Amino acid sequence: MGPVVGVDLGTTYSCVAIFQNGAVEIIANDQGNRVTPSYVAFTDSERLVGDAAKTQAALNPANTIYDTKRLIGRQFTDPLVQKDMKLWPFKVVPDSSGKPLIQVTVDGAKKSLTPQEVSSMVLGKMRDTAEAYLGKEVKNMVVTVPAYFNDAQRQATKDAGAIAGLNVLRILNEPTAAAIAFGLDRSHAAETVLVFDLGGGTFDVSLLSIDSGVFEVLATAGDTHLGGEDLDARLIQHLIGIVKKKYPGKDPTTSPAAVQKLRREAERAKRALSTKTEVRVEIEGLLPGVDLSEMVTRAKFEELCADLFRQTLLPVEKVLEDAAISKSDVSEVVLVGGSTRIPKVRSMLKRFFNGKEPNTSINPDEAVAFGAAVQAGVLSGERDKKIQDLLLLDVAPLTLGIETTGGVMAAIIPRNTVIPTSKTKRYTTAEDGQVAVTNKVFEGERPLSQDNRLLGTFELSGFPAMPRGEAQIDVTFDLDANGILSVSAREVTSGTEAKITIQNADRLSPEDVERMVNEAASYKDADAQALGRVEARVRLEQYVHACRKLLKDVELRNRMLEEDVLSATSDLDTVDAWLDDSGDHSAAEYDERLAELRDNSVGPVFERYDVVGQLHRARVGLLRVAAWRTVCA
Amino acid sequence: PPNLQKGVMIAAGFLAIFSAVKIGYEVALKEPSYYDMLEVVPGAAHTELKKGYKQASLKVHPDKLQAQRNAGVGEAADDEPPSDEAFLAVKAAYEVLSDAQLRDLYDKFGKAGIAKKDDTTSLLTGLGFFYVVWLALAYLL
Repeated sequence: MGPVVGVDLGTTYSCVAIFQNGAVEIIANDQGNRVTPSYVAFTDSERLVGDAAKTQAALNPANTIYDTKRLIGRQFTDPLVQKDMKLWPFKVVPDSSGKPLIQVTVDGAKKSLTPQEVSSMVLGKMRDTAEAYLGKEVKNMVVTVPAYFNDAQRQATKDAGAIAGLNVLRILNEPTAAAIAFGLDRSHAAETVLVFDLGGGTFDVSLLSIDSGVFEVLATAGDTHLGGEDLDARLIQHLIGIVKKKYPGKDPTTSPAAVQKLRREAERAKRALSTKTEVRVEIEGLLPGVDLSEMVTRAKFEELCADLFRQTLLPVEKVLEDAAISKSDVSEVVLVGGSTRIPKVRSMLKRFFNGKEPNTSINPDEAVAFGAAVQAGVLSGERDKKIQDLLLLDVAPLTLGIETTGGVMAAIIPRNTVIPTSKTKRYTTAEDGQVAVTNKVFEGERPLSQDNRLLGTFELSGFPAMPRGEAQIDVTFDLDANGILSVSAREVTSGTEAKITIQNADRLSPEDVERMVNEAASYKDADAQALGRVEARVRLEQYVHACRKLLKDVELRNRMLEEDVLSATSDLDTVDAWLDDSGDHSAAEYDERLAELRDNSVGPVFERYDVVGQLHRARVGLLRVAAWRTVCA
Repeated sequence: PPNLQKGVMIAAGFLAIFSAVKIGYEVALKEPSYYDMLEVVPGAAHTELKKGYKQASLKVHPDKLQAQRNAGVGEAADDEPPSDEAFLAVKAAYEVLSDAQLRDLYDKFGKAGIAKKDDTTSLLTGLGFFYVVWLALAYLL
């Protein structure tokens, strides 16, 4: 089945890893970075993903997309989406069924992308990173999601993989993955571990029992909308307030580029405050005539985020309560996610656990991808002792149930049930001759279904008409190991399969996925074209460079006629000017110029002095460097 | 009197045959008990149950089945995910045995006891009725 990689698809950063030869390797991207920004940008000529997209974010704010993990599987009207939109420089609009679409302008034309498509581009980038490293095609992945992601968010993440042409072998919960990273090489006796995973955009807490290779999740809780970005947002609001006070009448929020600059500096300041007690935020030319220079102390930052920090303890309490385990029975509190570097988070946890020092033994940025790679190794049947003895027993994060009389939610699969699981419920008809039954499936913990999230409405039909109460329809709810629900039904008395239709506004239809796969393939063509253009340009540049180098050769210069030197130099200067004049040219144009130089102007000159061989040698060496550079670009 | 003696013998013989048939029938139909599935003895403590559950899961969890399939050399790739069934059975066994009340019911009435756990009186009546018939039959003979 080829290599299976583990990918941590994060809100702000993503990371890819592979298990091979008995160890996990985190794979660095073309920039040499072990984590890649989850950014996608559209310029007039190309699509950028990762570092390249993030670097140019302030220059191209409206067409630089990030934070899609905060949109995926949500409705446009979701209050959190509405709130986030205010800080995003890119445009989000609702589609016909109320799902959010991201709107960018490519080549002057408006283009709408689903969050799944944007995530698929990030996943595609992670695949490319892995393929470049492994030198093999990668078709299978284990992708992580926050444990507290609901059915729609999981399904959407799986669809994102499908759009990228990948087979998502498993949707794995992030804290569980981190627990594997923590527990894989520990030869301890059975222990109870609490994973505290505060990432860029999401927050999870899972309580696990780890016993000789078996990782059993006891309970999980969290908040799919709490993370480093929310802390940044507090700092951004604070800085905006200062600007408004100092420069009355000026409002940075009116300029997407200014907000983008503030965002970048706020993130930098927040990171610095984990090691320093104060930091100066300086942005020159935030707005025309507006410079920002402000000292931010750690105390001020903690005050701004105090309620968010406090909020992180609620899920901790909830998992302990759900699993009926006392604080003192927790043997390790494992920190994961970049935001757990914040001293306040650590001190608060330490106090909560009566002075127990949190465990920082695993890399907070890489642990999740590490664990995903291990699970990928397990699923691909890796022959390794550690892997063969390893088993994850994960749970469902949310209660699944159906609506009964009076809008009361009847639980079918309670939260923290070990997955995969299967529950059968018997339904009957309420009227004589009834041939269809409709039910609504909800997800959530509230007693009234209206307060929970509607997963879908299913209709049972296709069974014979019977007096009321006589039909016995067994409806089976299967929750697979990915935490994704499927429903099937059978009428018992007549033995007929009842037909089941789920109307679910949150899932992409197979046709949608198909269409997006095709679109993604067209991007691949565009990417290949862009790459071809870059390569052609590099070929030309290298030729010019090699010629100039040759012209500097003393022995040759002594032999050459002055007019030949002058004509060659001027030809090279013309091409350099044409190259500098920027503007993107097509690959063919570059190649045409190259052919012109080689065959008609400079080339024949060098031929007369019999140094084309040298030119060729110099170019081969340079081209190797160039090819390496383009692969990385 | 010889008649009475003969009657007792016939009754005893009948009961012996009846029980033999019933036991044989039950043994033939018997599924592995929850204890067998977890590979523990019926009196096992909770920690042993848990260990048994984990050991059994290592063999039948769909992840492990998928691993075996993917590791299998030369085997045709199969896109269907492996069945959850065996794992679900092991999990059901563990869920019952790790709950003191359900375990008690299971020990007394078997799987039927779990299925009808809300209705123990009917189970007891059924069992009582069976013994009454048995005694009446013995007496009559």
